[in-house]
Amino acid sequence: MYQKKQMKKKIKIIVVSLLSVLLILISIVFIKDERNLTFFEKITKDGSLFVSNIVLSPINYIKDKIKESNDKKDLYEKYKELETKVESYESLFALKEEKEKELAELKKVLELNALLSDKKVMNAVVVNRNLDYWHDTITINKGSHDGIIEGMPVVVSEGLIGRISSVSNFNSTVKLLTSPTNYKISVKIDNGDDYIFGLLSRYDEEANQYLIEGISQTIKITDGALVTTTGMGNIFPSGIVIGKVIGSKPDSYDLTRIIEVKPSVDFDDFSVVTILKRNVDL
Amino acid sequence: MILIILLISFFLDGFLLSTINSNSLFFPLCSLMAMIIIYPFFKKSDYNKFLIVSGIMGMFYDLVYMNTLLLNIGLFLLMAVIIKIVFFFYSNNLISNLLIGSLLVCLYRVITYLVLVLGNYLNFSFLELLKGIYSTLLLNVIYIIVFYCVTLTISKKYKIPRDN
Repeated sequence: MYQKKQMKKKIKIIVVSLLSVLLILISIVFIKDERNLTFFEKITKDGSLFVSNIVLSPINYIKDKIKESNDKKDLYEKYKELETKVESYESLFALKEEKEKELAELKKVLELNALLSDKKVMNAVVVNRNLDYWHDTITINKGSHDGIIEGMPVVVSEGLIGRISSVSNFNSTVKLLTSPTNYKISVKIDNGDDYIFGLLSRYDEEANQYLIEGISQTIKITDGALVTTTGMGNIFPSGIVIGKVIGSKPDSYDLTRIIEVKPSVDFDDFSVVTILKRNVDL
Repeated sequence: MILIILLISFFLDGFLLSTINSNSLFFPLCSLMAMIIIYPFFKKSDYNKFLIVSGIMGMFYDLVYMNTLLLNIGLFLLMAVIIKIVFFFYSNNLISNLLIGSLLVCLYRVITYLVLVLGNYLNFSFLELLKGIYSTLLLNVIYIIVFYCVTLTISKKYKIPRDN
């Protein structure tokens, strides 16, 4: 009788172990970057994040207060820095208005309804972050209920951070550019008189830099050149800042060059993001 | 008691994930460590309930933090089996909890990494795997020590039955 019970327990352990291994192997099929969430997943995710926001709100309040008091410490230096920047803003603002008028006139003349750089914006707060191996993602508090769809680019004031990878009713997941399983982005490097076009292929985590591939060995690119999106490829609008060139190296076959780009964004420090919606579809 | 430990661990995971830097040495797995803490509160005849709780915890971890399906359900169930086997050989004390905690962290990171390599998401890099393990160990070992002491004190004070 006792031996039967022991046997049953051993069988149960073996069955549970095999079941869990099977579930792990099946999950490989479902590891897709941008799969549609099921109804149950959406409800669970929205509900859990809602409860999590309520539970963590006192802790987040204290965290914000600590950050505020730290920011206040060097307030005078920051004020002086901003004062000099504000003086140059007036002339920049006047130039911007003049350029916008010129652009509107040109669009009229050329009968263009929209440009690659046209976009609408929506702001969202980061509610969660996942830093595991492949899921360098954040969760924001806007979902399909707010008009968010998969594939929309997401930026902060400093530049591009990623793209919406999955959407539930009230929350969305943003896959960051620093994720190891990333997508290729069409970019242009401001090389003074002209633009050099390339493909941002991946993010080097150790060196904290993006790598742009396919640049000819004969082209000279100066350090500090600004890298922005081209708007081609129907994903990201044109003109979003990616970073600045810090160097280059030959590729493994010594045929082309790989350009190293320092990201304009500090990926460890943002709590509010902006979602962009293109006005033109190619 | 079990529910409180699980809820605290689950929400702590979310808070820590959104607070730490990407190169931090304090990657949390509090939800997994909570499985070790709550195991002694289940009677030996209630092992099925422990498995169900592990599965549900894994499911929520999948849906809320990981965007995966079935991976963490399978992992948490596997870890529940390992917890039972280890506790069969060792009594419930701080050292055995630390041993199981370290073992589970290593296994969790190794299995997760292998799943990604098998799914062609990452190329295998032993250094990357090692980095994943050591960046997860420290915080979770501290978490086990703290929670073990707290739950032991509370269970003694309020006479909550606990397997030792």
